[in-house]
Amino acid sequence: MNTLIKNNLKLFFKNKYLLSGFIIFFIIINTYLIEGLYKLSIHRDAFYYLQISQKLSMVYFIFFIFISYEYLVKSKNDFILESLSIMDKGKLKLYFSKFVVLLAIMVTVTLNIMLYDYIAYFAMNVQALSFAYHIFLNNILNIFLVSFLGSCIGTMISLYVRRFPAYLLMILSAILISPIFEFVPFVLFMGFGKNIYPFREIFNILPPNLNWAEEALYGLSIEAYRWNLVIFWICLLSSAVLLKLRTKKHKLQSLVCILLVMVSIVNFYLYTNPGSIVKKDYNPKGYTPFDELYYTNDVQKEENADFSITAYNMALVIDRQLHNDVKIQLNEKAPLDSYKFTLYRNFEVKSILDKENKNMAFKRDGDYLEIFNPTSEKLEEIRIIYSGNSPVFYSNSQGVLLPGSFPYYPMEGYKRIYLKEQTVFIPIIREENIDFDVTVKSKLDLYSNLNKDKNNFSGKAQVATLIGGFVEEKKVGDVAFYSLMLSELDTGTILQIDNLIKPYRYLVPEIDTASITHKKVFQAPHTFSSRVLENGLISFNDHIFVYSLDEKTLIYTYLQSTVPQNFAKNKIKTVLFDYILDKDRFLNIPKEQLENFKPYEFHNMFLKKIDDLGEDYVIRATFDYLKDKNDKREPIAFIENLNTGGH
Amino acid sequence: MNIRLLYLSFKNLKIYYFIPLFFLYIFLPVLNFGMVSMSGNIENSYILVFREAEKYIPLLSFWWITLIFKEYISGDGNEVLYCIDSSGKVKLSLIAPIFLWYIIHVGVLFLGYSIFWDNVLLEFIKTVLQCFFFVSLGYMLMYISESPIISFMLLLIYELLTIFINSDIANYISIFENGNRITMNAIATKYLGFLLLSIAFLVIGVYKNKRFYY
Amino acid sequence: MLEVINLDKAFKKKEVLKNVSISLKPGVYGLLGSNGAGKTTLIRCLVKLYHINKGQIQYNGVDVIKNSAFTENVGYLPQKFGLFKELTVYDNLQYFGVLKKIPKGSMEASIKACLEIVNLKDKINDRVSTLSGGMIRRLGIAQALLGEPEIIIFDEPTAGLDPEERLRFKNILSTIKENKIIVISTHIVEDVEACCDGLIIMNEGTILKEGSCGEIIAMAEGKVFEVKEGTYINPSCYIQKSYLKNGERVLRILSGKPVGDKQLEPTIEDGYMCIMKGI
Repeated sequence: MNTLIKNNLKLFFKNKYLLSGFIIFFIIINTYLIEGLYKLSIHRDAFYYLQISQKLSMVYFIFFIFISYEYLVKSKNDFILESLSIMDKGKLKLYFSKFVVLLAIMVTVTLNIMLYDYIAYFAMNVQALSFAYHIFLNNILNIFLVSFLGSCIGTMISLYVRRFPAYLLMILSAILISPIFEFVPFVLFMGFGKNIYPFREIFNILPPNLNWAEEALYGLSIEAYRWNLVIFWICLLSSAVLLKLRTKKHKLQSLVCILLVMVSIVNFYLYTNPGSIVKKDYNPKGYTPFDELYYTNDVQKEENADFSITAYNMALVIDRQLHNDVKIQLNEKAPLDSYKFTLYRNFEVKSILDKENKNMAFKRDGDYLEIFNPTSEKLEEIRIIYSGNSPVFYSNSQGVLLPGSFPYYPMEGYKRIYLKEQTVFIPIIREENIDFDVTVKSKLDLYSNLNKDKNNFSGKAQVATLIGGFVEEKKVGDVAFYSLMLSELDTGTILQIDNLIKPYRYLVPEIDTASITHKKVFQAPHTFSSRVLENGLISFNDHIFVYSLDEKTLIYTYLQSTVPQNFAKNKIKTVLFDYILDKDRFLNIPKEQLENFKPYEFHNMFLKKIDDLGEDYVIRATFDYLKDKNDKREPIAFIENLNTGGH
Repeated sequence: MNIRLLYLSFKNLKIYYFIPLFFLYIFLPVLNFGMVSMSGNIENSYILVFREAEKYIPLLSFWWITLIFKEYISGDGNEVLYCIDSSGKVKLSLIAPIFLWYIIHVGVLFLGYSIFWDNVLLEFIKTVLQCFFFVSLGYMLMYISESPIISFMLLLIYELLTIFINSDIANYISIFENGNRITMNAIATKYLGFLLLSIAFLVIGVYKNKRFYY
Repeated sequence: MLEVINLDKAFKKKEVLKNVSISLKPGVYGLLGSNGAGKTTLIRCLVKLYHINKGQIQYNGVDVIKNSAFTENVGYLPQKFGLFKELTVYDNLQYFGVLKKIPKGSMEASIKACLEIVNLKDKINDRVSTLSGGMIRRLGIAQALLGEPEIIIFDEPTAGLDPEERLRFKNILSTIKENKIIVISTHIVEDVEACCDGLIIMNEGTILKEGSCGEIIAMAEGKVFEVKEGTYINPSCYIQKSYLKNGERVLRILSGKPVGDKQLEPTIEDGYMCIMKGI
């Protein structure tokens, strides 16, 4: 067998079209990777380098389909198969030895990419073993297995199909799987309402999200469903290849064939249950359109609850997606007929039980959950069992992004959670602190605003935030900072925050050093800052989210934590902070723009009031307005009516 | 060039002859209707229509050549095709009419486009130059690698690299507009450069073609 | 007359043809030689497929390189033939007819005449892919005959064919040979024995012998012997074959010196082997 493999290796490299194809391919990928290394000195981001290197996946896939076909079809055309078919396992041995040659090439070119990725890893001094492992897994899944699948397709086509249909099949499969076809399902869906995404998804073996901004908390997509899909195809096609090459008298070969089909079926089944995934495409069930399309219709409700929540006791399991068994302690003034909650619509409620574990009837309407009280007494406690996921706020074995402001657990009353005009989520922030006791079963080391004790998180807080993935806890002075390993920020400003806040103390006397250091600081990944209102700059009593640690961002986040969350007052809040944090820029807005440009309407009014009433007075009055939760005036009414002594 | 030879070459392709026509006359127009419907009006869909068109049309310009030249490059007894034809070994006389026939079909599609959009003439010139680039690059690679399908694979890789992989080198060597509205300036500068490059590929192709049996 | 004058052909540094000179008048010639002798290279030079490094090929006194019409006078059947399998037999020949610039008006008659010769007329509308290996070979012959070329070159025409098809080939040859130069390259000596007027024997890129069948046979005159198996044979002798005769196994020996007491009548194969082995 060794001799056969050696001879086939020689044949591969002596064959003009295989050799020239390989050389051109090798030059292309190495030029691309070297160019990437050159750019690494500019962006200095090993994760970004990994992302761009994985784009070669499609090139590898296409290369191995065609090369495998051309390499293997020669045996068929030269009638070698006929002579070998009379030998014991002759055909199988020939194909096996040729496949070993292809495998050796696959391993070599996979190592080729991996080498560059690790050069970037060491050059950028990443020092995160989990990321080193992530590089390895990505290359195995996106490069090696994808190449392997390409080879399986090429081999199968060479065995089953004649030349012209073989060419057609190879080219169509390459087009169908490659991004060339990516836009077609989108057009069919948006243009004709025909959803062919489920059909295309099964061919979607290439890594997703590579043209989108990096998700530093999550890494690249290597979710279980992708492994399942690739293994499904590899096993299915391998069994078809084996079926063609096996000799009937060899029962073992038939057995392997059956086994491969079974593994393929199991993986297909698992693939159909993907759970929480991060897939940034235009699939109506995906990252962007799933919410965008849903909230286009007027589906959101707002209603205050007639009860309050005093404590949550959650038992979370995070595997392919999130499963929660939550007990909610209620404080009701009087018995209620029904209890209204907000829970993101893609979490499917399995059952709802009362404190005696009796099932209760409920109604699910999108993000809203109404639980009917079968008795005429107070419920005091409700247990809700549910599971599901959000395409944006992920929760799986690879990463967890569950900000407490997102209703991944039931929140009292009906809330608006999405702002369709800006296609962002509105953070929901309860004003008072309540008890949380959260137990999490997850492969990941999670972090939270709550106190951590192994896999238990507890404490009094407004919300419960859970973060996991490429994140690490750092102590910066007295502040706990949860830093994204793959997108590290300069933490110097955190040390200076006390000084930075000082000029604004007159506005927010309640912010003292202790309240600053007490707040945990979470570095927001891209998804969070792009899909949550106000670039995801959210402030809670005990923690804040920031996408950057520059002075203005940090001051803004700390200052706004003194202001109750009120979406209706957002416009005036933005203008106020714009003014106090970037006065020069604000004053330099050209006059004609201020007067004629609609987005500057508030800026213009604000400036006029400053001219009329004085800067100090307007700032203080506006701050008071923002802080006063009983002041229900519209921002426009507030600013119009702003007069000395009368705000 | 004898039309009969072209006809027989196409006839040998059986149903596979119709693949580019399916894309030109069914797939792309259907997709274009979807784009118009998606964009709300015809003018807004302009960018989408021509961005998608350049993904398929240049690549498919090499489809017929791939299948026909399978006989000329790797068919059993292909040498007979290089010695009985008194016009010589160089097969440009076969490639040119195949290319022209394809461009006529592309022209019909673009004639249809011209009813709905302006600037179609420039888009057509751009597309013809892209097709010419693909054909001459493919022709050269076909005689270098001595395999039409490996040549097609390399064209496919070129397209993927230049449209879908954002790299400086890929952008520099990209013949695609990738969502930009074509201008006369681009035709006179970028596409003129690519035309010269295509001619260079063609010359190298002819040289390699001559030395295929040498 | 087709003349090859001092022809050299090399692929990079490998010399394949060395100073080859032959002249061919109308008639059937067998080009004999072992594998790798340079037969196919010589043929490909003759049909202008290969560029020649040195020497000249002249047809009727004109250098073929300068004569663009020469190719229209040549019919060529390569070693393997299986082009345009999705066309019908008629269309397939029409393809070659167009390449050979056969006038449209006489195309159909030419094709039918060729198919008649190769006995494929009943398959005229069949797809090539449905024909047997022997039939495809005959189609290749028909393709070579198309346009009534003055020179016809067959490269290994009988390789892989069954005896019936080989016989059929010989019959075809006898039908078409009138006033034509026909070259049949082969390493099977018996194929040329019956139908060739002249033989060209090649080895390692050179012409070892050119002559009529009689002249080749004469090369083995007095060198063919029959001895009983077990008789001592000088190592310089060449055992041509072994066979049973009157219940005894005997050997046919080629030797420059007498061996045993029974001398045999030589055949072309004996002559060929004597030339090849230098006996």
